[in-house]
Amino acid sequence: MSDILSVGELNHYVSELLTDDALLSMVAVKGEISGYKKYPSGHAYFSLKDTTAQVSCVLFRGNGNRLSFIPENGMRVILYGKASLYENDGRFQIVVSQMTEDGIGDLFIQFEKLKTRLSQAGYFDEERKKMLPFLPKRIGVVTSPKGAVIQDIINVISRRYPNFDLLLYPSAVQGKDAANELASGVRYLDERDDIDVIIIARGGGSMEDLWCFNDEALARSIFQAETPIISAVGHETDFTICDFCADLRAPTPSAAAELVYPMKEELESKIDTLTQKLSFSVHHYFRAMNHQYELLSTHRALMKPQIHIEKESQRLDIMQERLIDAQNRLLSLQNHLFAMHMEKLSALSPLRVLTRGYSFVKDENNCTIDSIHKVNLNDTVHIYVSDGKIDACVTNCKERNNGL
Amino acid sequence: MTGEKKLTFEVAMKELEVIIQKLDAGDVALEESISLYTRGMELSKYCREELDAVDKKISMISKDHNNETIQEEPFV
Repeated sequence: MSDILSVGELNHYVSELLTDDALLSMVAVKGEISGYKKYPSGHAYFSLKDTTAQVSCVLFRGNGNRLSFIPENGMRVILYGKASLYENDGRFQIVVSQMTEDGIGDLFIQFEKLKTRLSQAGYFDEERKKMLPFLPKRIGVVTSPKGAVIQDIINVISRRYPNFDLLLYPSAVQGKDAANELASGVRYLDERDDIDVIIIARGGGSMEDLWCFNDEALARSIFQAETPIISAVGHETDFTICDFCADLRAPTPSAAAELVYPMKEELESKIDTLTQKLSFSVHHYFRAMNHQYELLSTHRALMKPQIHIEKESQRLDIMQERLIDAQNRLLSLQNHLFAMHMEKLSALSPLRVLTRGYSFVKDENNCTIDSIHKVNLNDTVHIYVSDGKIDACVTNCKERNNGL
Repeated sequence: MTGEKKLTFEVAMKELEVIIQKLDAGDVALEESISLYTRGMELSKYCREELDAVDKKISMISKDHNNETIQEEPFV
């Protein structure tokens, strides 16, 4: 080595070597955080160590802000970054781009253990799942009052069912207090008697972020609640214990909102359709009855009662009874229609009977008079005809004897 | 079917459908058809009213320092 280098040149040379190395440009290293210090600039410096060695690390502000947890001394982590030399002081360091808490393996094992235990205790049994109300009067939501989740839920419901009533129980949705708060929220809303369904919700996040939804006490609150509960935690691919315990799992908070409220417009048009059908059906029914009546009243035997033949007289009597019965029924029907003041109905065919010269009679108490025994002499009665009412006085009552 | 029991929107809609089926089938007495129709109109009115029975409201539980729930307040 003939050239004499400056310190800067040496460091730069080594730095170049490191930078050019494919392995060192992206390393994953496991260890424990030590000497963590965050500067006002937002950059953080610490050492990563294990039982045999340690290495300096720098976490720049941008990458630091993207972490899903706050690094602390003693924390076991896996960090990803670029091994390099800080040329100013010749310090070998890792520029950290991403860092996760080590112990995910442990979390998975815990999750599976809890899941198995609760499953055996019947927490996930399908037959215990409650039906959601078809149309809730008031819904409860347990989630963070900040952030997009509650806004998404409100937006979706506003679109589907504009006059909804929502009560939010604000809760942390990650961190050490979260599981407790979530469970309190579920219990609180369940104990109220004005909440028809509860949504427990959180947006997407890492497994650690969602960990509070894998809490046994929260699972118990959900399991014991009498109010139906929808769980909407994370994205579609995230599953938590909370999801398994809930009566229904929604893939996202927005989807939960859709499950909870029907489309109001659809319900309105369904009511309209059924109401129209009802009018049509009753109309159709009356027409059939009228038809039957017409057939009977134009029967040969009635038109010409003088051709009484011994054999047929009994049949005729029966027919007459039926006719009178049908007529009375029609009259009482019209009576009802008047009483109900149903405009829609009054446009239907039975009232047209009145235009053909029929009428019906009611007493002072608005009761239909279908027998001479329902009036006394000198009673005032009301006779309803096609275009109005005639008041009349009973001057004579005479019972019909057999035949006519 | 008297409506004295706690009627819900869903139950009312079902009953309305059953009434229409009965009238369509035609095997009811005239008087019954009238009471069915009347009941049907009542149910239709009930369902409409039920849809608008609730006023829009978004509230949040507020808590004190001990994390005890204290009251509902409007959420904006």
